[in-house]
Amino acid sequence: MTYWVIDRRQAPKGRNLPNRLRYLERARRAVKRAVRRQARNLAIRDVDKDEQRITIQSDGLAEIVPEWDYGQCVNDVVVFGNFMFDRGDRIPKPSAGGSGGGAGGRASDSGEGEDEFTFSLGKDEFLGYLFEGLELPDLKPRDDEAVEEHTRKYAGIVDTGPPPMMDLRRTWFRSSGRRVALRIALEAELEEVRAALEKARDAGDEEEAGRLAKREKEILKALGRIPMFDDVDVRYRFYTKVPQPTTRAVMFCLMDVSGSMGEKEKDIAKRFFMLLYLFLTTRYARVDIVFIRHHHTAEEVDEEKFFYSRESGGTVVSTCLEKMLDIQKERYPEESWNIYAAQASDGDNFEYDANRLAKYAEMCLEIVQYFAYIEIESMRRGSTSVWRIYESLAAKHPHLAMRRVAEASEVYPVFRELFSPKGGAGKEAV
Amino acid sequence: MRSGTSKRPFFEGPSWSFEKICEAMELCEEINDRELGLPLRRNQIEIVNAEQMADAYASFGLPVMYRHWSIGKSFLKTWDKYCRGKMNLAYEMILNSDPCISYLMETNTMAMQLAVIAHACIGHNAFFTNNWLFKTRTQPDFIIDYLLYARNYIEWAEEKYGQRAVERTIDWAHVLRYVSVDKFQRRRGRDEGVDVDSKQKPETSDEMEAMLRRIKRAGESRGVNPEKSNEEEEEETGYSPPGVREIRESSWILDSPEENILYYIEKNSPSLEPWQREIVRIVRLVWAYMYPQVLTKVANEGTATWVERYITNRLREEDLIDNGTWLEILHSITDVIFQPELTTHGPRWGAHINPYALGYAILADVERMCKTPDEEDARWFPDLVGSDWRKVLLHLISDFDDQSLVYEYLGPKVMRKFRMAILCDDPNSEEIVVREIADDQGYDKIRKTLAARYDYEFSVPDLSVIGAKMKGDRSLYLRYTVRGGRKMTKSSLEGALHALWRLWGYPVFIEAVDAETGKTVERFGCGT
Repeated sequence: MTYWVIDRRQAPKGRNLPNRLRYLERARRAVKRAVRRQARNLAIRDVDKDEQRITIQSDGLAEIVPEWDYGQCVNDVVVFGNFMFDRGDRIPKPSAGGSGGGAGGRASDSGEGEDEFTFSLGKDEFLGYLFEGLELPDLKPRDDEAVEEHTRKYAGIVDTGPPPMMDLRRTWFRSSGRRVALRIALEAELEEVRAALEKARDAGDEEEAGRLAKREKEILKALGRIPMFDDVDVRYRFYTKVPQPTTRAVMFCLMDVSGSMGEKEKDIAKRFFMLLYLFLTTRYARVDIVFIRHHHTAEEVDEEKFFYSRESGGTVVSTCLEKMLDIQKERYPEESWNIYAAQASDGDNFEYDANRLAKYAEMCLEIVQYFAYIEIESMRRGSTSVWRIYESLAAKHPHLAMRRVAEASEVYPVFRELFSPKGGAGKEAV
Repeated sequence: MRSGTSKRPFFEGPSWSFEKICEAMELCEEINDRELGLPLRRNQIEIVNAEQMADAYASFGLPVMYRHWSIGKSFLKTWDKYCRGKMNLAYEMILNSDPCISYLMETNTMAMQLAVIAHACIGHNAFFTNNWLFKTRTQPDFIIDYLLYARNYIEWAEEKYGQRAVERTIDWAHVLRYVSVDKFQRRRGRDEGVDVDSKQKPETSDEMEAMLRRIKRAGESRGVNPEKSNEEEEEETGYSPPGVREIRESSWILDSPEENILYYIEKNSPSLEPWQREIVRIVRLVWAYMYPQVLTKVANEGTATWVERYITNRLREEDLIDNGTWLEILHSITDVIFQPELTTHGPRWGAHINPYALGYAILADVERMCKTPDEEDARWFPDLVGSDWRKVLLHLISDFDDQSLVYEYLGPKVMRKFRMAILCDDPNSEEIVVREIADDQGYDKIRKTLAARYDYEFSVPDLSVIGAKMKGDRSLYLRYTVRGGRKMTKSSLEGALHALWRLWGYPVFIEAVDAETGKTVERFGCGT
């Protein structure tokens, strides 16, 4: 009998991807919950992984079907493998409540009573859920002559331009028109000449016929010489440049790496900045990030050094703010940039630095859209000097947000609070 | 085709190739033609990778299916389990279609490919081709076309009416699909034919208009002529007006009771849009296609496993496969018919009956009784003794479902072999009582109880529509039977009511009626 053998392995992969997407949409809330639960315990390295496994519990999508409640009635069940018991014997029930109730005979296996299951999300999906609903507050479009961004806008038809911009349709129409116009005159004359030629031939007028024949040839030649395209035909599309209002932003990341910050505190600070970094790079196409770390002096570093190298020293907090202002004046004029700052510290400061700190902090607050300060304290020591200074500024500057973080698992929730649209600005949390 | 005096194994080593697969197919067919004589359909073998097999799992094995989140969820679960090594995907999967489509895993060894070909391409194929349930209820040459139509229709509806609306309609229909079967095949009328030539169902075709008119009319008065007397009326129209009788709430009838709930909803729901009706119909028809497979798991797998073993043995006897291959296949067969035991694994696992094990055992037992019966067999199955095993095999394949196969042919030797017993589990007691064991006294009870296990109603409540007050508040009434105190779970009752209310659009009631007393045990409503 005829049979076929087909190799299906080369068929396009991911046949079930649309279904997977639909499930993720329906289970959105449950997936979000699972991602956020997971995010509390992520190591810094792991946040950047290509694939994240998450465990969903009860996605609210149990597929209910009419079924019997076997546990509520007396069941007579056939079992296999009875090597021990005789008629009338009594077996104590296993304590886990497993009785002889049989599994349902349906084809579907979805109702097995496990709500929880695990699967993998891609990196972008995972980060998408992580940062959903978060945004940089007060991001304003900055219109500026120095702005480099333009879009092209269609502005009409002109008669000069480069060949790729040629509007073929219009050109063709115009050329058709010109050719028709030129032909009409010549063809009319050609008809006359031919009629006259015939008459002349009939009449036997050699001279006239010869002249007319010559004329006929000339006309035919002229007809053949009408060019397909002439300069007057050609038309080009024209585009103008229209300046784009840009939303440009710069985020200053200020991290305290002084000796008073232990390993744990530095880890918490780094987690916070890692989240911030990922958030900005996945959510915004154009955000500059400036990394400044300080102990008793401040220095601008690159991302590698910021996250991974060790450094220590005394503590002068105002240095990082001073550095920030220097860089800002040099590279990020406030007319064209939205300026943001996020600072992490343990609140400990060189005692005589308080005034300078207050001064520089005030200057920063004048120019930023939003300033987020998180204080990392693994032991509750009461208000630190830095905290008190910022607190006093917070009343006048509602766009200063302050939070305390004690554990690594608190970083993500605090991060979410700081960057939710309702804003953490102006509020304090203890 | 192989012929000639000296035979040698037609392959060696673990790796398969397309030539070897073709040869395996031909050899298996040859043995079937020569010795078993089972009518078959043409086979289409498809080699797939693991992801494609997981795909198949997620969508009932259908190569084409409409898009739905439940399929995505099922796929994710399966795929993750497989990738973490917690679950093995089957070696094969086969579709009841014409030609029969089988999926073979690319990771199988050649020995397994051979086993699978014997199992699926001959065994399952023979079952689908000859079994009466499949012959009368499915159209295998048509199913793929219908699925394509269904998928395209749903895509079209999603674009036109929005994905959310379509998805919700499918969700509600899914809740009710297992209770939407025709337990007995019956004629449904003209509109049961499926029109797949039109790319999408037009919103108001003639049939649709007729249906809508009928629903509207049902809600209006009957149009009985008050001038004529009852006798005249009856003579003219053949319709006799109902007499006055005591009304019990549950006897408002629109049509006769309808066990196929989605069918009833599709034809009679006052509030569904035409496109929603078509979706309800699609869900119903896809399940109707799968329904026979649910009823014949034991018989089908038993047949396929028996055929696999038979063909493999014959190939070994003729030296067409070597010892290593034969042992590998036997090993796999032994694995697949493994049956957990009460005393070793506990009551829960003892009650978990492996359909492969049971089915294979019954078939092997009947074969034995035909060929080498003993005195007990002659007592139990006198008709089988001395019968032509080929004819009996075809009879077993063709004329039974699981319930009837167990009822008719479960013999004492099989019951003893598996040490069957009946346990009584009373939720109010702390002990399980052993009611019957596999001895002369217990055989009959065991056979009947095990057969009842394979009744559809054992797994799925017999929820049926009994009527609707179309002239009143359009409420819908359903009923199911309570046997031995077994009721529906509260959550599934609520889920069913909710889905019904969504699809019907008016209040819905479900009552539970006790089988013995006929009394209503409980009644719930939704949307009241």
